[in-house]
Amino acid sequence: MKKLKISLKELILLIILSASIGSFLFLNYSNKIKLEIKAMQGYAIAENFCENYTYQKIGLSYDGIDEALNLSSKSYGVIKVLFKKNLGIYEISINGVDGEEQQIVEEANRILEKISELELTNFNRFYKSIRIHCKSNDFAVFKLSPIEKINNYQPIKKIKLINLLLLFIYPLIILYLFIISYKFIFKK
Amino acid sequence: MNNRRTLILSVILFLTAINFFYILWFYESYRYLPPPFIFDKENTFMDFYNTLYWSGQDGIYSAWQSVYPPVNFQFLKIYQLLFMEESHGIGDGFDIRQKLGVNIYPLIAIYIASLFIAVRIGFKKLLSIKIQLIVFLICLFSPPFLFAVERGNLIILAIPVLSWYMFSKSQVSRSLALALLVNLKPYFVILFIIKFLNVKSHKENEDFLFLAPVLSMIIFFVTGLMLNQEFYLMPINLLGFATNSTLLSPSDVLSFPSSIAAVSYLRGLITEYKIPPFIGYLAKLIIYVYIIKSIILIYKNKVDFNDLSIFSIILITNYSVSTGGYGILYYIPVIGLLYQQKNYSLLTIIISSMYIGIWDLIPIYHYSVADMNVYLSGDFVRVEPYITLGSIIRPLANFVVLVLFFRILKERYLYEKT
Repeated sequence: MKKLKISLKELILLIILSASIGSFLFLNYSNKIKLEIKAMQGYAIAENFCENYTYQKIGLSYDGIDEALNLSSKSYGVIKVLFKKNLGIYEISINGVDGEEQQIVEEANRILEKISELELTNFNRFYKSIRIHCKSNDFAVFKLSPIEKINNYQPIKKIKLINLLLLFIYPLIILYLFIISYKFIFKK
Repeated sequence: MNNRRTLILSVILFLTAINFFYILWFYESYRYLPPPFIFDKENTFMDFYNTLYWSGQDGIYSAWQSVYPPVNFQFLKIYQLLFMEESHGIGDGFDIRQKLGVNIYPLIAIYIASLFIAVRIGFKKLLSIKIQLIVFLICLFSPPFLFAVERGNLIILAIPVLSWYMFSKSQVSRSLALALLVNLKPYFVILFIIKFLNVKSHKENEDFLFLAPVLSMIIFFVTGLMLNQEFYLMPINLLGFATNSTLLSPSDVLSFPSSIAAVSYLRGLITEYKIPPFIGYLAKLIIYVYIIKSIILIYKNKVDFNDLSIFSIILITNYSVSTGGYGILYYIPVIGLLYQQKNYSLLTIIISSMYIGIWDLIPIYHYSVADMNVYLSGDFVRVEPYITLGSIIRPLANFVVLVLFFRILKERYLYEKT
């Protein structure tokens, strides 16, 4: 038990240091916000008709999306756009700080519109003009199923309160452990 | 004596090399790695890439429910900083592997270096540099090392630290080594628990018993804070992983098991015969009986540090399938300790069953054929998987090691006392 004890002076130093570090971390993280939007990719769909085409569903995801979107640095934080191929889902996440909520929502919607335009370009280039002659008429084979938001209402996330409070406790624990281990190793 | 030892090691290296060249030949002919490599050939290196993907995401411990302590993710961030371009906007682990696959080579170099350091630490006072090199080559071409490399698992980083722990004389140094080990793979806490249970040696080990948990917690909290994730969820995730056997597929477990507890997965793979469930429970019961008997002996006697370390590794590799077959790599420093003790029978069993890969040339049971993409060759092939003789010999031999080591402990501490 003696090894776990610290003096009053050490305790005061511990509290002052951990409070300072904890406050710095708290202020750094408390105003951080994040918006995440998920959207199912668009598809070119061919349904069975004229008994010539079976049902087909082809994803319109755009290769090289990072370059195409030209995600330049903004005044508010980090923008990430991921396309998960196996799920066919776009994930757009934007980090920012308090007060930038509207800009972040607008930016996310702008990105989604841009992706939709790129997919439409894909559709127009590769699938729109494919036609079939059937029963004395011409039909377009593929229809466009546009990009669709999955989580329509997605609140802007803030760091959880418990995680913010823990930012005060972690430095306290770490510094206490440092003090007792230092004393043990070097004062033996 | 030296000539005989060199001859024996050269024969072992020759046999290990046969398996290694067989693997190369098989790959050239069939365009995928043969068993005991994992059935899903598209999953090569994904232990690394999946973890790398998550190292840049939020929700490591909440969404992904990771059981890896924060140190693993910090290593990956440093690795990315040194050897890769920014990967966090690319996509998931598969996308990162597709676009930045060439950046795996530094990791393989780190693996080889880790193995070399582990052998040097373990054998530098026991063997000449020439013999150490032969031992290193045996381990390099061995099935557990190749298996771990194919997975891209960070377990290999723990091997030199384990050697450091086992061959360190200073208690402060040992404490730091254990603190790192526990933060790489949490089950290494067993090393501490076994030492703690050896109550009659508490007085000599009091520095270690105090410092090891303190330093472990410092590393855990500092790296967790740097990661800025809900890392306090890690212990809860660990409990879920340890108790949920459905997370592991039968073919994955049975391709490279180190414990006879894997027999409980046979029912999920073998469809031709009805395997009674009690076989799995019986195997686990037998393992636990020997583990508990050994622990009782450790509790009641003052046991040497080396014996405690050896038993801890035997326990880690035997008690469950959750450590994975590459846990056999932990025997590398143990081989050094056994050699020091001149325990040639255990040495023979461990090396011949676990490090010589020729047993994997013999198929025992073929199961479901499947067509799949193979990441390494880029081909789409028909994969015909099978369980090898090695996958049966390794866990059986590991169990024999447990039984024999228990008897050694009895002779050394129970009978010698009387």
